Amino acid sequence: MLTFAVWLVWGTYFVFLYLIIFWLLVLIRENNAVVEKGGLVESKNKPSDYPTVTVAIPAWNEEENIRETIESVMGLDYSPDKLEVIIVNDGSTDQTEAVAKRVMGQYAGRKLRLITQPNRGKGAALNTALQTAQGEFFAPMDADSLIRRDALRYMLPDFEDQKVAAVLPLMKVWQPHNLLQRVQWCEYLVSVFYKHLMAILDCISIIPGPFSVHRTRILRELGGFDEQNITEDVELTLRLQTHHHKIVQNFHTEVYTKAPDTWRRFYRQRNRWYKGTFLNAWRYRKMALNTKYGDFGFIQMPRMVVEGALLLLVLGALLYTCLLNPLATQVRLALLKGVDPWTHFAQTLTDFSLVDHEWPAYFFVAVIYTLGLVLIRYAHKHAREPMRKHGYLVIPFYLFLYWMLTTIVYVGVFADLVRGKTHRW
Amino acid sequence: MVIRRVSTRIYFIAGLLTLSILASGLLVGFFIADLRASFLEQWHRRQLGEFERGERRQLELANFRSAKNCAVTQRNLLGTMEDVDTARGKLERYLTSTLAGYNSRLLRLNREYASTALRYWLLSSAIWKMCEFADAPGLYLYSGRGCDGCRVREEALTFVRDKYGQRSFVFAVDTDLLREEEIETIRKSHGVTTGSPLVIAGSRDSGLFRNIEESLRRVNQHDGPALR
Repeated sequence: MLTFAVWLVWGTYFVFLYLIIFWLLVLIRENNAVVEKGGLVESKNKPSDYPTVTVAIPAWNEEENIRETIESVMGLDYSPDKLEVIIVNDGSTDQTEAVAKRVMGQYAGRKLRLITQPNRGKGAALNTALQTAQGEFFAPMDADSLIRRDALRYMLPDFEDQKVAAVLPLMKVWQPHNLLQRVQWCEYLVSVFYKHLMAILDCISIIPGPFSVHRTRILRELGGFDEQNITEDVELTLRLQTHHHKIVQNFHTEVYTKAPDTWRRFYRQRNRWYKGTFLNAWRYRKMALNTKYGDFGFIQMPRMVVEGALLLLVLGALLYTCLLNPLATQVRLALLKGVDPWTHFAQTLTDFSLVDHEWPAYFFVAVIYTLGLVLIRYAHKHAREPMRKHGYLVIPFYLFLYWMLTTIVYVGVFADLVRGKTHRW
Repeated sequence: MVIRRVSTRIYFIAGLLTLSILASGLLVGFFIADLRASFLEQWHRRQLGEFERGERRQLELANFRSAKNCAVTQRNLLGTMEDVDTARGKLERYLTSTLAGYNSRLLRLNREYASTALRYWLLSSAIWKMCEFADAPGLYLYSGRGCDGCRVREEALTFVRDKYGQRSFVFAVDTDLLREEEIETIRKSHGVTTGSPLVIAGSRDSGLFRNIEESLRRVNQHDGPALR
């Protein structure tokens, strides 16, 4: 048992280090190209040449956030007659509809519509908007998110490449005020940077909800959003990848989303995300290790399928090798010797010797964390956010403890899957 | 449509780099393991030297005991006493240093001192019998846990100290000496089964300090002048 756990931990160290080195190599290979591109790429088109864009805001019980979101979208620096906004009230039981109507009153004469339908989920709400959308481009916008004014002007130029089906904005956490939100702020930046690296190899595995821009034609060709899916964004991404469409991560404009501020909300959100990702990855498992899908099949699909299980096994193995097994041994010895357990325990703690430790493992972990730190540094640099913006505690917490927190969510995910418990959006 | 490729070269180089880091880690591990082995070997040699010295002393003692040569055995005893002083000195220096704390170094020094002192007690007990000295050495083993009669004990221990001076040895059995084989040997050889035994030369008393008057009377039964 102990040998198995040790091998498992070592195997995981190896996989994690391999992945970090892999993505760093991708970064090094593409670094020159990125530098050459340089600066911000803003659309030089005259407003009359702007393409039409439809922004869809699905909302379910968002009375607290909907006002700010609508105002943010309506405040976009874009030709008003080229911008259509559709709010889909997905059977809210609170004042979402009333609040939305009040805000709409401020924008008379603009292309702004409200559709109310019985609650059918986010995918269905987006499909409702997609059916009547008149824009050449379609941008779903989560009702708890905010967008920078210049977003479209910086994102649309990426569509000049006809292969591009979707463009992702640089997503950041909106005004984090506690440690949980600050750590998510760091996580989002790292995640966006990873997406940038993934995009280099056409490997993006998720198009997040807040203001990713799609080509409407391609969305319709693919049949829109999966209404039964708890993470319709992951499913759509995998479908786009199946059809070999290009997805691009844009670094020049920002979308802000309100991250969960309590453990309970965090757990609920992540449970849905991780469960949905796993189920969709399993659904599209034929892509894994399939040369037809290139790097996506080789590096992303296996990761999506096994990531949760791997994290769970590692946490379990670490707990077993570093805590449970030594503790059990000490208790057993104490009982055998018939001595006072507390005295024995105190003495065991003092029998600390530096040479008795697993130095190769420490070395390996140190390398992993150092390279991880390099990636975090790059992520912050690309996102134009200083690492110390929300205090120095955030980075070590993110590096050392956050993965354990997310692994605990996986415990719930797998427990739900075993029990056959489904999730509602 | 995206033209899909498998970046074989990156996969390969990443694998190579990961393996080389793994190999470096293992080399670091081997280097430290080597250091550890030489450290343990050094430690073992030192312990072996100490053991051989003790053994030689015992042998000398046995020889001179048969010859009833008390002068030589007493010189031997003095040598052991120097060892005790050295060990005590090291312990005291450590306790007054800034590094002092309940850690492995303190534990080691404590055990070294206790072990040397116990050796001295065993030797002096043997000499006491052989040479029929008037002064007997006393060994008091106590437990620091559940000490209801601490005040009584303190008084009795002070009395023992006053009576036996340098020849009294006091040790807590439940912490520092937990792993000392000597304690176990002494306990068995003197049939100590209950707590707080006082072993004075060849005899022993158990549960001694529950009642101060009785304790003092029993300590005074042994040789040496009565103090109170």
